[in-house]
Amino acid sequence: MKRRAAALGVALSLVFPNITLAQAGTAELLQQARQLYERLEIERALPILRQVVSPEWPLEVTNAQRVEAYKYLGAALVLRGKPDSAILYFRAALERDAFADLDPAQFTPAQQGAFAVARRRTFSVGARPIPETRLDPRTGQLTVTVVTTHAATLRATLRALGGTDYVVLYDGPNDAARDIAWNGLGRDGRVAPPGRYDLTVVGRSRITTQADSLRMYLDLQHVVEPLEDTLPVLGAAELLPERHAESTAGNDLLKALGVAVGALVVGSVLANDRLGTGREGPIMAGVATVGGIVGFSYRRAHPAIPGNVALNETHRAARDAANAAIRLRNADRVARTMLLITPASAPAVRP
Amino acid sequence: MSAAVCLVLAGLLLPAIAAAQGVELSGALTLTHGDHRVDAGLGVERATGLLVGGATRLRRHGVALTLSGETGHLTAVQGSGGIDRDVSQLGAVAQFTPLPWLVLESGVTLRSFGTVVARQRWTLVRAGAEARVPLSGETFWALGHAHLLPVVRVNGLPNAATAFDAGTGLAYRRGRILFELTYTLERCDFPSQGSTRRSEQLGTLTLRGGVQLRLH
Repeated sequence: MKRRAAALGVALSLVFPNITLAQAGTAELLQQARQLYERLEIERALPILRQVVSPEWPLEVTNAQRVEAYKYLGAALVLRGKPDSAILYFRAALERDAFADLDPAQFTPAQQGAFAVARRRTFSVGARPIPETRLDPRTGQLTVTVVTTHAATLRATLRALGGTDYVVLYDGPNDAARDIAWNGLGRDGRVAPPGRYDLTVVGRSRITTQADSLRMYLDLQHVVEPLEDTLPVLGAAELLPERHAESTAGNDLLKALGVAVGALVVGSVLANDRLGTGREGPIMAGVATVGGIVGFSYRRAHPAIPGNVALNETHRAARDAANAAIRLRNADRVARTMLLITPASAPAVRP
Repeated sequence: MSAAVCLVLAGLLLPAIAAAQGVELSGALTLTHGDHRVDAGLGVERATGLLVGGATRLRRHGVALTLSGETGHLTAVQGSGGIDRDVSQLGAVAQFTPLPWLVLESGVTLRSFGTVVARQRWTLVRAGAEARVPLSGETFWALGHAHLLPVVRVNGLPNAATAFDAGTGLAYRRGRILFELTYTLERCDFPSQGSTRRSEQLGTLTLRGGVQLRLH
């Protein structure tokens, strides 16, 4: 390959002494050809342009360069009075780039006429590359510019890869370029889920029987502010006991009986034997015993601790309120989800 | 100035002190049934009756000062050979709470027994402790207390040889309201004088009700 390029370079340097191989990069060569064309040195421009589009050309030629070369070839041939050949080159340009056009300020009406004929005879659809786009689905939309070379029916659909559901972005007649828009929502009206999407554009000529289609792949990501974690359920360590233990009632009874026994002991053991004691001790013992029994029964029937229950309820309510606020803030963040759309393939993939 | 006057003055000054210092103040009315028994070698004389009075308590952090006063009339029990007597007493007790359930206390009580024939003045110095064990819910407490009375000075009598008091009770507190029912037996045995040995004993059942204020 290198040897062939070198040979070609030598050949070119023989034909065009001003052009060395080092200068013979495709872009520079095209520039040379354009300058020759503009100086109406058509005979010198044509071989260069033919070299660029030749399969033998050893250097890399981008699609845009190839289309440019075809356009100038066509234009040059119109000037040489060869409209049919010109139309062929124009068609080649259009087949490679449906957006290809001739600037009226630079090209003659005859050239534009030939290009229009090429348009009618050629049918292809095209789409402009989609740049990385940050889209707010509430207010913004993604715009894709598509084109058909002549009047056609056009249908553009967007589908999650692997999915069956699709959104129809456009379905109708079309001639020339058209902007089609997507608001980031799926068919269900919700924000489209993240993933890879396939944008398919199918066109059917209304002049010929030709059809053309292309497919673009897009990656869609959700850009959401980080969500807050809700507060965990309050654990046992964070809550006060809401019920007395089973043993509490019995302990209360024992304490009250302790008071009763104490009163009896004081009244009998500690009292002076000669003086004896009155009824105060037994009364105290009786009151303590009755109180103990009543307390025992009450505690068995009412084991709840209302103060603690209320405090726990307050804590739970505070937690629930905090969680509700967090959920609200999270929902707001989710609602403000932005879509990041990045191309996942070359601008157009011919199916 | 007598000790009794000092106690009264202190009682009157307590609210002012409380307001100034930002402490807890409680006041209570007391209704006491007393059973006074004396054996001076002539058999047991017994008199019972009601005493009414009040107490005020000033507490800051773990230290409290209680001043109390009671007065009443004890009627001689028929057949016991005693005579009616009027009882009045003033008390001052300092309390310290080293543990939530334990109160160490020490105080002095000035007591007067007045009969138609004589008036007997008592000065009792006591030191001891009170246990306050809460029942569930912490609105009721079981109480138990015991004090030694190292000084029991009675006019006309030597210092008591053995003197103490002990008792139990129940307390109720809800919010600022306080109620207590306590039983106390106070026993004083005096040294023998000749062939007689004097013993006195005062059993009381006291219902105390009051309010507690937190002053800032």
